[in-house]
Amino acid sequence: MHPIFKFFVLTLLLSPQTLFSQSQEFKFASIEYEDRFYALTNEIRCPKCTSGSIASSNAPIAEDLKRKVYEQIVNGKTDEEIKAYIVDRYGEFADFRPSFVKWNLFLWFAPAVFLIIFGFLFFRHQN
Amino acid sequence: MNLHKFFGLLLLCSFFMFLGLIILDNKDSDSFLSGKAFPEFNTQTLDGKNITEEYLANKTLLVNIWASWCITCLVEHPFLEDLSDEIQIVGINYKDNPEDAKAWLTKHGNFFSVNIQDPLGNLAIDLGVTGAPESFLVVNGKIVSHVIGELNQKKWEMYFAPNL
Amino acid sequence: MIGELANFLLVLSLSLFLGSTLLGLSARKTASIRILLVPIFTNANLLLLFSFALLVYLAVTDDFSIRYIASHSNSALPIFYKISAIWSAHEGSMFLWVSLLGIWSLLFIRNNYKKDLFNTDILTLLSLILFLFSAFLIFTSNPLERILPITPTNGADINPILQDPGLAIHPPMLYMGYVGFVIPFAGAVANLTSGSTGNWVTSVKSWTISAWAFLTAGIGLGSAWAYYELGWGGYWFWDPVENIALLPWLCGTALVHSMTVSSKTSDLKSWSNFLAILVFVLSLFGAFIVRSGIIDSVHSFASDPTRGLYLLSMIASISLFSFSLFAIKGINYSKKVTLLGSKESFIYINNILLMTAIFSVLIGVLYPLIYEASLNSRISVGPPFYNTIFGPMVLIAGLFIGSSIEAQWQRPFQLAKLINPIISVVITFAVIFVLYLVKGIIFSALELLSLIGGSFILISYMLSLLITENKKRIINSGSIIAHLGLGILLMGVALNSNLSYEETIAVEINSPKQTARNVILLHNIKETEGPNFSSIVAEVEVNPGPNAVNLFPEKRRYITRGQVTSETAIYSNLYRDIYLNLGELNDQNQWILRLQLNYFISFIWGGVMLMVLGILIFLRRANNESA
Repeated sequence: MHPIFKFFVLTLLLSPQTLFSQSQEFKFASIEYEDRFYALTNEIRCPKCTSGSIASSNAPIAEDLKRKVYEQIVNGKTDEEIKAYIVDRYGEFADFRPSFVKWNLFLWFAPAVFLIIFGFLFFRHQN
Repeated sequence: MNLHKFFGLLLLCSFFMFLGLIILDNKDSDSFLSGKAFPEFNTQTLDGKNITEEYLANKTLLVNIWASWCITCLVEHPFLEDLSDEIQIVGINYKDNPEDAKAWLTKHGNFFSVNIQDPLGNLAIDLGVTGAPESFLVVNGKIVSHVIGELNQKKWEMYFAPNL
Repeated sequence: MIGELANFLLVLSLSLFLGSTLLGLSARKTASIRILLVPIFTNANLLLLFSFALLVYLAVTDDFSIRYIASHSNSALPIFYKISAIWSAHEGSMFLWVSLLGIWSLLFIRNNYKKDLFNTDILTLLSLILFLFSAFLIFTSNPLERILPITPTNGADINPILQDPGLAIHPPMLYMGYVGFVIPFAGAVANLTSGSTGNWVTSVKSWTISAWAFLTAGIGLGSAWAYYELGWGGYWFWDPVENIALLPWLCGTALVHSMTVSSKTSDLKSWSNFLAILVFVLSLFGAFIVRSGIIDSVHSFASDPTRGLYLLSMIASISLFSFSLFAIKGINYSKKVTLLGSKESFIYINNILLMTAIFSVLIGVLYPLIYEASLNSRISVGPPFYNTIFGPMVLIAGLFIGSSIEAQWQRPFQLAKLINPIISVVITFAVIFVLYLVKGIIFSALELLSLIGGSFILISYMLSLLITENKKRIINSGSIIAHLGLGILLMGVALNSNLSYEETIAVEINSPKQTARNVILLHNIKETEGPNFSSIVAEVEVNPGPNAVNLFPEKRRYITRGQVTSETAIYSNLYRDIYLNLGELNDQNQWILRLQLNYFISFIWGGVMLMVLGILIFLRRANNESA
């Protein structure tokens, strides 16, 4: 091991979120795969961090999950399959995009409902 | 109802709701894992024997994720040792080197009925593990409850003991 | 000794604030004591500020017997960071917060106070708020506490990611914005309590615009700080703390627009009143969320339930009081029909859109809490949600802003005014179509919404500037510049999202590596020493050849805390940034590099700068008007 590398590895445990400590390469056969990888890792929440996606974390678990996403993209899995894989293991908490079902519909439609209520008040104001 | 009353009420309601949420707040348990079958695996024990999920069938077990590099694991070690009289403990040696792991066990004591090797953390990811240490209560091949971080008397009584 | 003096002054100012609150209340009936109010209030504020100045002095002179300084500063730090260390954690931030509150209140009262009931009520309210927050500071978060009996010889140092000029200016700027909204709040509430007949909006309008300018600049700086310092290449993460900084901004935006109407006419008076209360409540809410730690965020540095509970009850009582007052008394405003197509109708629509945005962000922040409390399961609401809801809103807002330019006060809608907007729509779509034909760029639905919204604003303003006669009568330069800034910002966001990409590459020294879109050549890795850190620096050439860019990404290890940080190397030009980070050495002796091509970042910063500039010009105009 390179001595400089050792010097930094020793202090890894203490590092803040700003440290970029990537130690694996992500090489793709096509640009489309590459872009999908970065889009997807930005939508998966790092399960051990206070906030932020696995793309913006160096926590070991974030590195491992990035590796998993990478392997699955290279193996031709779809975005939905990869998301399902993560959510199955880490729960809905790991998905930054709340699913479009049940209670979450309330969340997704709330903005439209607000707009309609406020719009209604506006038109009542006209009369 | 006019504009002012509407806004006033809306705001008041939100604040009371918020107050309620703070009081109700209970972050310790995330229940989505309970009832899930223990994931399938086919790997080796630290002693080099083959092991699969069938080993866990028809047993009540504590599954503990640990590693020789993990400091908190050392902290919970004595508690687990005491616990091993009550319940069979299966270790998953997480992202570790088998030699380091064996040396660690020799030094600090080995009460695990078996230790499953997981050098890349793949089995751990299937279990929804975020790091070491974590513990699972597994009954008849099903996950019953899950504790993240150090397992101690308090957490044992809160999450595991009631499910035995 | 100085520490005790600072503490003493703080307690003294607390009691004076209590005194001026009580005196202010009795001065409502007995007008003769009003003469005492200003001196007491002034002295209370001066004592508070003097106490803060003493803390700054203690920090600069490395008095590590003060617990807060010992845990957040270090004698090896440059003076600049010794001072900024004061607001790098909870207690000091709160002190700064209260001190800025004092500065705003003092300036306002010194400039505006007249001995009428309205102004007396404002002074009483400001005293009360200052009293509550000083009490919070002294009793739950005192930064002047001593470590006894043994004084550490040196401090624990500031977190290295915070050793950045961005940290030094971004929080004070943001806080100036937050607490500045106390002025319109006090004005609105005093207007309700005093039943004053004068127009309260005129006396607080320029103060509101100033606070709004600070908040805009503060959020912009925070975003830039995240981009340059955090090293992930993002400028906005929809982190809970960013969201709650955005809430007062959205509300302040609505308030300032609304005030331009209600300072001139009797229209939108209740809106201005409501928004003035809401904007300060949202600012307080921001302080509460960050301090209580109930919402996970990179920013939450204090998770103490006592503080959270104190703040919550304080905010709850302040908002309960003011909103109930509004619900009871706010009704008395005269109801007037807003003419469809008039300038005030557009501002009404603007209020609606911004209120929708506020409620949507609020629900996004609170939904995970509600979900967990009721379903006992955790959920995340992240960037995909906010992008999805903001896309359509930004488009609607853009269309209305672009169409509103030539609308006039109290004049109904005229069909002829639609010509410019129609031309703008045609140009916008033509440009997007050309981009597709020539460059093969296909935008996603969300990107299109933002792009169309932004370019529509831009083109309509430019057309109006070129075509319309009597420009001055219709539009003012501050408004033009700020809206052009918004248009550029929205376009920048869309283009950035569409064009930017990332590559993670393993390279050996001196062997060029061809990736899908670039060539990377790592020349060498050097060790160097900084004032309080040691580092390794990579010398990297991106796309060797005539357009080669040399970058020097770095990894630093700070000596005191042993923390390691990455220093991103960035090459910027007008249309893109080359953004490079140095990773680890892998076992095949290759260095990992992360290369990001971030497009149109300059549009984002430029847009925000134009917005701040526009607001400042607008502020000067408002000052001239009121003078």
